[in-house]
Amino acid sequence: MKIIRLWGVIAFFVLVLLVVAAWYLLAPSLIKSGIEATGTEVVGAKVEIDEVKLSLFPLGVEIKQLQAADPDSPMSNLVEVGLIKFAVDSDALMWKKIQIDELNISDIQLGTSRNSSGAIPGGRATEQLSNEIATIDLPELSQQDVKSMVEEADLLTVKRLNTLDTTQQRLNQEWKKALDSDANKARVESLEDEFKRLTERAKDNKLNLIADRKDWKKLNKAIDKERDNIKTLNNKFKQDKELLATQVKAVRNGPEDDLDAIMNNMGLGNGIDGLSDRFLGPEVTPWLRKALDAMSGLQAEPSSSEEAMVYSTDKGLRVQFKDEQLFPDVLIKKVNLSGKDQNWSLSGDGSNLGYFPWLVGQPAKLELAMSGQGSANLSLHSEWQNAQTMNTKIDSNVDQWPLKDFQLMETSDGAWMVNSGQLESNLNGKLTLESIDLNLSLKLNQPKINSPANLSGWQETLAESLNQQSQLSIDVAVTGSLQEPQFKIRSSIENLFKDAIGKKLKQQAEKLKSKFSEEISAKVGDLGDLDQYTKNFDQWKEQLKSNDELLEKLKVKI
Amino acid sequence: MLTVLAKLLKALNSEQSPNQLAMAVCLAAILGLTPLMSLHNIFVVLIALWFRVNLSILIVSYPLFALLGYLLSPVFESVGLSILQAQALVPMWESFFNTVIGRWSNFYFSGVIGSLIIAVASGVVLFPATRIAVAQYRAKWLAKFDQFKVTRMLKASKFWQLYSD
Repeated sequence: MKIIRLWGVIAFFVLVLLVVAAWYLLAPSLIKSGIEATGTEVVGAKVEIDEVKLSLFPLGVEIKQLQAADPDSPMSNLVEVGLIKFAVDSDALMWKKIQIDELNISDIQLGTSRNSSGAIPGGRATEQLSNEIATIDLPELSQQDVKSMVEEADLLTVKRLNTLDTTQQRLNQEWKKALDSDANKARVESLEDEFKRLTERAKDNKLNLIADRKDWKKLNKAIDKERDNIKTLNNKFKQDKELLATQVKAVRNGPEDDLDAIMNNMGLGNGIDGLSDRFLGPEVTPWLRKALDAMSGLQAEPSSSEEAMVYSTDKGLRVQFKDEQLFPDVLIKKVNLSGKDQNWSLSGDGSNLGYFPWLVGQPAKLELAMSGQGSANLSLHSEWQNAQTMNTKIDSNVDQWPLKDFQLMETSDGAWMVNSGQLESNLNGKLTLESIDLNLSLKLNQPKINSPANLSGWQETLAESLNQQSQLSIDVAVTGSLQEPQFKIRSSIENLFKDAIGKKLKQQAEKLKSKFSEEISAKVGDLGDLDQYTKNFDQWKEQLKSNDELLEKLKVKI
Repeated sequence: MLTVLAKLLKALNSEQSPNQLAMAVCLAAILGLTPLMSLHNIFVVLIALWFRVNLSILIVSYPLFALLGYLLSPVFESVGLSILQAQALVPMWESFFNTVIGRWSNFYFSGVIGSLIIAVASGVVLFPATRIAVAQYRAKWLAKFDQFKVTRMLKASKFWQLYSD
């Protein structure tokens, strides 16, 4: 019997041909649907493409008319790109690497109108998660004014003041008992009397020293006991003083801690999530977090086979062996951007954008410039000398860019829109793998802010005060490392909270019934008189000292 | 279910050699236990079509092995990782990774290499075991099976007619 099946071989090659043909026919629609699905999920509104063309020799892709709808205004586009065109190097593709010689992105337009709504029916998959994040981070912004929020806040300073007061009262009682002057006096006097009595007897007759030897011993023992007691009290004195000093320090730091806690609750804290939620929108936060994680995950390839690294992927665990094909997994050698609208024009170019960047061998550059009624530009230069040494410089500025109908922030009462104003901004600094030093300064000159209708309480006041400002400013400083970036934000709004907290502390402190409450409440702003809490220590120490000295004298005489 | 049973019985009762059936089971094990969309599976399909491997047994066995593969995937991951990280083998894997076939084989994924190694190893056991089982079945149990009511009913059904053509 023949073991070979001739029709099977033919069937196999027919099958392979069919698969290749199907791939070629289906690839454009697969690429199209892939970009649309991913883009829609990222943007939060429909991303659509008119046509994707695929050419085999050379392998190239042409994407025509890409539109990304604006999630806040579904009848207009955030961005519309007329043509994206690039060719992929097939030699690099053999090694599962994507190398693009030139990527052209042309006819970029912003804010174009759409024929149909770009809203996603039912919302995107991550919408629910984003909503949860927004609910957690911005709990009471729409319902409560600053005053009532601070009123209801469980202020650390007040708690710490209460604890300090309780401790001080307890210690007062304990020391009063321990150093009860009458009892102490009586004990010391009785020891003194006994000493005098025995001394007199010894003077009368020296032999009494022998007769009274038991009493002398007893007296000696009693003095030792009293001195031991004083020694124990001295130790307790040290501990109690330290305890009070720690508590006083905690109270002093209280107002700053309270401010941070409240600002964090309002999403205005220094964390990246709070910043992103407030100024970029909660839907962006998970993506920003992913981007940061990816940045922090940038690691060098193994230097030797023994250090092969393991990555977790959706296909399972991947062991990364040393790659002898020393070019990056993805490389765009050159990118050109262009676009214009009635009010602005954009041009930009970049080069050597790749991943892993240290395999590119050349510094990555990206330059963007926009001009119109104002001007804006961005310059990014990133150089990887090797996998362990990166140096990236960012320099960006926006000058007198007119803003119209721009959303400043959103609460559940509605959007806070900037009707008009002029934006000035600067972002500059540098990043290395070890450290970040970035500074962002945003200034909105002559802002006219349209707040949501029917505001009350602090929100109404805030809206009025925002419109009275000639300039709104937000300064963000990013330091730390890629793994643990630290954000510091300072804005005009923050001062409102600071004032409110100060008032609240004053009120709370006044309620304290301890004898120091008045002094503290009067100066609660700087909490300068907290040292009053420790002033009794000097008196107690003096008392312990005098008793000990007296007993020591008796001991010497004995 | 009847279709599957009919296919199975038809193959077992056919004139085909036990080797052809055993080979089908082994190839089904590789196809089912390893991720289907892998380079090595093109080679497996080529073997299955080129040589006179029993395709009915292969098609029937594949889903069973695929289910087993799904259940055993954590074991495959663990075995694969040990193999890929074994010091003595690292130079070999590294050389293989730096070939075009190596790059597209996905063998540097622990699940792929782990499942393939286990599938091939089980194939070494399955091949003789299936051969013996088929031979035993034909020699001892075939006549008895034919007497069963179920078998007779099945043979009279349209499924049997369909697969006997």
